[in-house]
Amino acid sequence: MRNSRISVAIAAGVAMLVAGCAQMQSAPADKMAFSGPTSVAYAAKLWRAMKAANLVGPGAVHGTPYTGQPPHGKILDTLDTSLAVGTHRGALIVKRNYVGAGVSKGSVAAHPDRNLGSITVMFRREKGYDPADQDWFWAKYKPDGSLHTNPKGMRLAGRVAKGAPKGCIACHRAAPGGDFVFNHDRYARR
Amino acid sequence: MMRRSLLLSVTLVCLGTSTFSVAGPPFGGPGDLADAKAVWRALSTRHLVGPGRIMSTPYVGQPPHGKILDTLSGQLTVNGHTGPVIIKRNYRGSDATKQSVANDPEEYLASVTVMFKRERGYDPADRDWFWAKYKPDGSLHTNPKGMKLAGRVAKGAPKGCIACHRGAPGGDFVFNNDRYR
Repeated sequence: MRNSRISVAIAAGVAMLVAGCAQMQSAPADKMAFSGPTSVAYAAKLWRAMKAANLVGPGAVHGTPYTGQPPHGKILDTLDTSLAVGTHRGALIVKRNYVGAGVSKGSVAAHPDRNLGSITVMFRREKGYDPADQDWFWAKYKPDGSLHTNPKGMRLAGRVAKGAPKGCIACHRAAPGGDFVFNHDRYARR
Repeated sequence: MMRRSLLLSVTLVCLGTSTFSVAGPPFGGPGDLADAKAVWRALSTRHLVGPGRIMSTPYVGQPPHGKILDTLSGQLTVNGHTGPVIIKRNYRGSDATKQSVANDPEEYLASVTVMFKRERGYDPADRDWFWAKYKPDGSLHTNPKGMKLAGRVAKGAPKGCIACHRGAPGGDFVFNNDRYR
């Protein structure tokens, strides 16, 4: 009786272990659309590269603030350039989203470090990263470089939010030129 | 008549000496050209000018700057001195719009006008700004007299960078914000 109880426990343990392994194999981190460990690690690497290029953090380069629209900030300041992350170089768009009741183009120009709600970033990854959606990596950072989360607590980095009816990819799919970029078509693949 | 022309020429000579004596012209001299080159190189290293430069969002400008503008600001180190820098891309062309410039900035870029805050004492009366008007390739634009536009441009004149920017709110010579007071 006692032996059989132990063997049941062992069998259950083995089953759980197998199931765990199977889950790990069927859903490796980089197969998760977003918020998985690989996406979060890549977001950190991207932040470091942006910081080194003076695109985020203290002493960052500023553009000219302009009036935005939801879901982005009331006032925006958007830069784009190309950036190398590891061995890959790709197009990068950095949008500072300014929020708050009293925020205006003038207030942001005067104090670009105040009222900064988030920094939303698009970075064009290597071909094959997300072929159906033009290989963009999406991230929503806090001013300190940590990641914002969605209402489910998922961190916003990766192919955000692939397959969902709302979110980065769903909305940006409508951008003119088919490049997921609203402001211009410089990154359209011809 | 003769007395009047004599008086005029004396006045002109006096004006000439008072503006150009001792320190030479306030802009366009060999030192200013060397400074302009050093500033351009530093900006280029930081991807703020030249091919592959960082772009911001174009907006509608007004004379004497471009019809459409794209302005960045940051900190720059040149020859050991670090100071605020403002880089304005001036876009021209009959069909230049915010959208056309965003799509093809190279097509419309006419000049890059730069303000770089120099070390104290560079131009104490006018907040120590260095001014330059570059062509997209980094060479300098000239005024109608052929003077290269770099240095204390055009100090003492009724028009030009310094005269106009003196009217900026906050007394910092910057129109878009008062961060450099």
